[in-house]
Amino acid sequence: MHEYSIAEGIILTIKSIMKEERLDEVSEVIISVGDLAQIDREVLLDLLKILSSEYGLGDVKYVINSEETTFKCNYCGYSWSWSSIRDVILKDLCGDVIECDNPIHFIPDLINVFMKCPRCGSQDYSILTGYDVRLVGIKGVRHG
Amino acid sequence: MVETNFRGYDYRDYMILDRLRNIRKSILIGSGKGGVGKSTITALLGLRMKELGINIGILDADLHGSSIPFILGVNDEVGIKEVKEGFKPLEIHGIKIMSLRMFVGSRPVPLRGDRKKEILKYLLSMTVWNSLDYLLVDLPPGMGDEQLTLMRYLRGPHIVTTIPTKTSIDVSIRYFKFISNLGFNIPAIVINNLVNSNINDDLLIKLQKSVPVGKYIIIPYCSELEESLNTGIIPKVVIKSIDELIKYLI
Repeated sequence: MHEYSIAEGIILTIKSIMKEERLDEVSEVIISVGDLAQIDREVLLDLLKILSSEYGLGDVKYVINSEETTFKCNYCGYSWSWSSIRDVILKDLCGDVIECDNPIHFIPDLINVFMKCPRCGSQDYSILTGYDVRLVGIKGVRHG
Repeated sequence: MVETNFRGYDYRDYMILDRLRNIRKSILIGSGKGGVGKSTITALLGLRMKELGINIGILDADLHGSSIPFILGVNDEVGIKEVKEGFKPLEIHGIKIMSLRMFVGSRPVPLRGDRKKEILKYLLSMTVWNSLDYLLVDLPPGMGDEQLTLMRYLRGPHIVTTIPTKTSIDVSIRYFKFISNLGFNIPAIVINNLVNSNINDDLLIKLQKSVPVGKYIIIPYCSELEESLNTGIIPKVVIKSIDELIKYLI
């Protein structure tokens, strides 16, 4: 249930921005979720709606986009995607290809500890796209 | 009515502020060089403060060499536990501990700087400390990404640690200047005599001239320190020095 803490963090951020920017309401929040984070988007959306109500944010529209995670090796230059290697890594971490509560789910930046470049075996590579959970945009309204 | 689109916010920044709200004070333990006993001093402080009835947490921020659980006698790969709101600290000898070791076990941790910054933000934003009197932060050696990231959020007093050698003292003077420039309060410099050397007066004079702090505290050599800490016991020979250090921190 790592999704709960993420949802709570997003709600706290919205509340703080409303205060800082003297907004009367927030109409839309766009969130990007990289595959690597293994976030259940439906669960995240449900939690955001529940917490919005609990925190008195009203009717906020949440848009959650998923983004493919891709990597590039800093050693040999090879590029690959998380989806191409996901099953191998999850089998190692979870004992199955089904996602579980694993260190990469909790902290995606730990990927370098658990995955090697499929071509040269280096653990020195960069994440090019699909990084983690990001707040892409918040649409706020100020009356008067 | 004005509609505006706001971008560039990191939700973890707001979570960190929220999570640190119930921590009365943070104390950072750092040094310019490695191998001077920062983690040992942190563990000693944690154990003694706990004995004195203080509610203590330790953040093991040495990402490449996370060792606090190991020093305090937990050699097994314990794994990370979760509660609804985030990561549950490990509890050893009554001290709450968050360490990357709980995520990676004994695996090597190859990380570039930007990745380290992100990992520390996760540890700060997701760890559920609840309320603490003091959070002790065991910093890695150096003056790089980890220090700069953590000092942005944790503004408590900073202990500089060194061993009584020319090289270590030379680097500790540079480290002192680095954190002084960032506006940190440095209540004490700890000279950890882990190498059991005769502490040279000239070295102390050089240190005192270059580093004008309130107090220099010498931790005497103790051959059974490692084994004692494993069982959560503070050797008698070091208690007086640790108590003196605590006086300058609380």
